Amino acid sequence: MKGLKEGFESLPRTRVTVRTTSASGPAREDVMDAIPLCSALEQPVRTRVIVRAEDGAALALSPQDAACACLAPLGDGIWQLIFPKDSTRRRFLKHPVAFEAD
Amino acid sequence: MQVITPLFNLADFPENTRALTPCTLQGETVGAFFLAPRRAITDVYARVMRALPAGRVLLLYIDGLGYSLYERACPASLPFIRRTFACTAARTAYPPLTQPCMASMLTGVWPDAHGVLSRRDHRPRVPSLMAVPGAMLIEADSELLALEQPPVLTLAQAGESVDAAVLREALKAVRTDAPLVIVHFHGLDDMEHDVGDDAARLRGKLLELDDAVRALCAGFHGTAILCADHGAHRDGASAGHGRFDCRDMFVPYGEAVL
Repeated sequence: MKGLKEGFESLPRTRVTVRTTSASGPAREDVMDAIPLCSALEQPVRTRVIVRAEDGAALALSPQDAACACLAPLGDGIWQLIFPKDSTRRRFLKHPVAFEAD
Repeated sequence: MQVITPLFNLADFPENTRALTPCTLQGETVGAFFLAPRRAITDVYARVMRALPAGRVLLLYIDGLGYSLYERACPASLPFIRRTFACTAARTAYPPLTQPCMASMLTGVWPDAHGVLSRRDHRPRVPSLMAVPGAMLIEADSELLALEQPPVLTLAQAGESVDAAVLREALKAVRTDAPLVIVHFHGLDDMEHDVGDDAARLRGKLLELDDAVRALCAGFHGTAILCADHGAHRDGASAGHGRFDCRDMFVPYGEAVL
């Protein structure tokens, strides 16, 4: 994945509880093991980083956002960007492919 | 089959009534409107294209502002918007989710034609308003659709709301000579998912949005259009959307020449 350290998949994971809201139903909580994004990025975030997803979506992260974001595995080499302290649904990005410093 | 009007879900409505207009998705009828809606969010595309030769256009897009909430919010919650735009009800796309509805608003066609059928789809297959040379789209922190030109993504600073960050960048955009400025406020939808659709609990956010719209209109000359993508219905302590329900399927639409 562009912008992440080579072999980031083997970095230590932490157990996080994630609360997500749903467009069509009540909020739910999931517990998962995830890699803190800060430890996986090639470069520290100075102003912001743009995360681009395989499906054309994108998300801008501030240094504070990046500090609390995690990468959770979805299987088959696909990852999801999650925010354990923020349940805003639109910020959960599946299948990121690039982390671009901006 | 669910039958709806802009403000009511009609239970056990006779399905052979001639005044019903079906709503379909991929060949399936998902419900029907009692009396054909006079306006639709797909009108936004044509209206913008008609207005552009005469001058600049400002499209104010408030995510999650359903017509039901617009009507339930006391006049003091949206004073400028009510006075300036005098909105009427417009039907939105099914499913009433941000990506399909935003795509319908910006392309002028329904999901079967633009191909954005769910929150997982991000690439409309027909031209959008962002094909207008020099058009600007001010978004919060997320690029929800991959359009002809990338949006301006904004990040809230310490103590700033997501909508205040969008307003900050949008004010810069209206001061440029961009022919079309689209401003997408997302904070209301975020809040509805969190606290529900009660107009009293959302009053502070509605007032913030009303002030933001007022500030943008004050610095703009041209045609302003106010619209939303979908509404929301209460679901336990929070609110959701995505159903063929009058609260999800109708949004306010209004225009003003500034």
